[in-house]
Amino acid sequence: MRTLRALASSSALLALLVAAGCTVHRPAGPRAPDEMSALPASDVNPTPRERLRTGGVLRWPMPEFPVQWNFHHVQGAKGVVNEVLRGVMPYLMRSDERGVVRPVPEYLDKVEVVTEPRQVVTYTIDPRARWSDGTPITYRDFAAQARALSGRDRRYRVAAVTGYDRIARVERGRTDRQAVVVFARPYADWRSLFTPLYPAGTCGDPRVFNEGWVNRVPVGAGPFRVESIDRTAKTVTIARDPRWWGRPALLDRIVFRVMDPAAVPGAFANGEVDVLDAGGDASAYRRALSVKGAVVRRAAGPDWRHLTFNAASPMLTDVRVRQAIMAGIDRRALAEADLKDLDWPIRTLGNHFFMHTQAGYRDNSGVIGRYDPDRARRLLDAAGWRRSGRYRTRAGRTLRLRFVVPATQQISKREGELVQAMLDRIGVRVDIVPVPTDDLFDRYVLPGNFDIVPFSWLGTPFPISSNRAVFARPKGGNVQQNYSRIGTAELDRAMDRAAAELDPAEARELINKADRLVWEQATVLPLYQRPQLLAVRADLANFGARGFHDLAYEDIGFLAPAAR
Amino acid sequence: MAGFLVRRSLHGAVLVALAASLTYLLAASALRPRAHFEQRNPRPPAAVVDAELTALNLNDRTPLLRRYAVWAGGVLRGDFGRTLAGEPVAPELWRRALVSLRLLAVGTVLGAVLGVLAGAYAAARRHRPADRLITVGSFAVLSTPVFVLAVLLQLGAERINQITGVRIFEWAGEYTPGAAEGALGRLRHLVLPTLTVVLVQAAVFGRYQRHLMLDVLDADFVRTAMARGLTRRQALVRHGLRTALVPTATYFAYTFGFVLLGAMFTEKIFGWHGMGEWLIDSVHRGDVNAVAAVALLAAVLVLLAGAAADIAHAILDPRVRAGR
Repeated sequence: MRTLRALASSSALLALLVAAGCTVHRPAGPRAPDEMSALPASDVNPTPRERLRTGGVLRWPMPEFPVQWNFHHVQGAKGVVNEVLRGVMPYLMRSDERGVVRPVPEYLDKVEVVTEPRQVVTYTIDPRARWSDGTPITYRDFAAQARALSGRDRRYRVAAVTGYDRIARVERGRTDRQAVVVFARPYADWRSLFTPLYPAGTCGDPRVFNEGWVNRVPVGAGPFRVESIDRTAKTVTIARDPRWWGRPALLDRIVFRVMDPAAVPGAFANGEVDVLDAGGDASAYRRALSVKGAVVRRAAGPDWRHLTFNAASPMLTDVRVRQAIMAGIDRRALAEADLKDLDWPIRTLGNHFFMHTQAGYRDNSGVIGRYDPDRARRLLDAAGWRRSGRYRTRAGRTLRLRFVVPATQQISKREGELVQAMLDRIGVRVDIVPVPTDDLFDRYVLPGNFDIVPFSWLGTPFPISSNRAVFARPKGGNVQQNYSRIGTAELDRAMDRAAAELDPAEARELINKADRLVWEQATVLPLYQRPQLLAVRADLANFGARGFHDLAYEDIGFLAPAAR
Repeated sequence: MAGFLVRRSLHGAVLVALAASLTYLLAASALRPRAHFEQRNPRPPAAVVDAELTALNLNDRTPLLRRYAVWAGGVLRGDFGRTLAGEPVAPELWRRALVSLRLLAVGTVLGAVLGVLAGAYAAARRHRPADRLITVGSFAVLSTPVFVLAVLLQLGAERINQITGVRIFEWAGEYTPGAAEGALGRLRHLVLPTLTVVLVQAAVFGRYQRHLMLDVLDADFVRTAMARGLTRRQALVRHGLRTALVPTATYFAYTFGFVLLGAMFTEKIFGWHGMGEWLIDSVHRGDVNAVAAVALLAAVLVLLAGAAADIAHAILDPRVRAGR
């Protein structure tokens, strides 16, 4: 859930290490051909369970130690919490590698949607589904969660109300095992709801909701159960739960342990952890390649790199100027510079909502996203910015932009330098402003104290729900996450229509329509979809760079000796 | 004597209160815990963020002095408030302090002792090959950043593991979670971080001690001792080293407190979750109460170090004992 991946300060640390004389040999990695037709959507070594052995421990480093284990609490909505809970809690829906979301059969036998006269979703719960304390999972759990997360009761400190605020009521179906969810307004991303599901005992009582899951996971309903939470060593161990009614988990345990990103490559090389996120920086990647018995699994990740333009800044209020800047930036060159050491095909991203690997992706960049310095010059001339000497001026002011970069991030700095050189050619002056990494969002991006800023957003299988706050027109100073600080009523309507469209094909069409409007207003320039490079033990199966694909934790395992 | 102790304790309490209060006020006005929530996607409802911040006494919309009053009142009752994540600060402070202590105690003491011995030896052998070797070695260590040193040690250990085919060295964390390895496993995990601390500590103390020792090498009392029939070695060890140790002991006492907080890199690279890591992460997160608690502990440690230094001084320096 943590979206702004701008804070990878460890990469700077490791870059320093290399400079300080640690020789990291560069083995010949598998080169990715440039003409590779598609980016791999997921790379998890899919293997049938028969070929895997029962047993084994997966040791998985995590970046921070969660305190709040209620994922729907404002403190709990974090990526690490999600990673652990996916083995423990009922996640009713699962996305495939294309971002298509389907019900998980262990929890739901059937899900029916009626759209007329109003949207009604009927969930038929599997009769075997029980909480680990023995209570059956029923419509009551749905009803309590819908009420708690609706935002109507202020005592629940919820992380978000998206979608739940559109639910009118939840009723009992034919039996307790059937939940009928009636929507007040249609909601296309209804599959994002009730995942994970919490018991009625939690969502029915604000005190339990807020405090009952602090440092503990009192109840679950998944292939694993939480065995121990060690607050001194900062580790969380989940173990196979014999009460699980589905395919039993292959692994005995998964041990999550908190480790600084800078410490993980060494621990991985020495066989003390089984997973290393090698996508963050090139030196971790190279170190991973050199580890015997390990492979790097690679897929297009859900996050994407981009440049956000501040349309409220005096230099960038004119859409022609913004379009000119976009035309003056060679996105491919930026992507090449960022990705060159990672053996990853260079593909620029042409969509603000969908990733390459996602069902519905279309390249909408068109003329606006094409590198065309001549067009840029024409647009700037038309906007009244004329060359005088090296840079363009209008009414005595020079066209200069502040490109704000977090000081510890080499990648942002390099992007700044490239943009500086590119825009220099069309007569635009770029000043690179390094700022303390911790202050980037707080003091520069949120208050609009920048002209251009590079960072990454996280894509999700629910593009409209997660991006609405990024592109919606600011209302009365509340910009939400629209750091460009501009929008149109037309775009808002387009997004609203897409959010209410229940037919997936039609919804994708509408989202692409909204995307073209975003391109036209020239506020966010997508660069590329970031690769997910996950180094793991070679005999680990059904686990790796997952892209949009949600893992079934019970199927993660090590190859049986015969199958190796 | 009792009066002196009471006076000194009062003095100390005032200093601690001042240091902690100033840190709190500085942290509370400079750090922005609100940003921690506002950067999330989807962004939590504004009312929820306010409620959560208020419950944690971290809301920047509450006047600073009121927040300070709440915090100070809590501290007087032994309640250090809660972290940004909602965890009570005091138990976490203890957990972290003990982790740091376990990580660093052996290395710090051993490093200081080795450093003193190496420094004294180098001074006695001034300008001979042994002295040169120690000098070059300690400068090499001193000019290497701690985290580079730690990673070099890890690479070396990894190589040894590979060559022998046995995992002799393990270094991630305090112990292997879930493994029944007992005290031996903990010791094994201590080897590399301790080595890191020992190297740095020995290099610093070696340099320091060498210079102190050079000062006393030709001092009158050493010559007098030799004139009374002691060998040079006896005179140096019994009289010279003892005198030269007085400032070192003071220095050691004061550094120990800071080593506990300053071992950030060692902790991070070796995956221990102690005070240094906590302080730096808390500053990054904007975790005001945690930062204030660390500062308070630091102030207490400095005072204790001062007391310890005085005691060491009294033991080492006969004039102090005899004088009053």
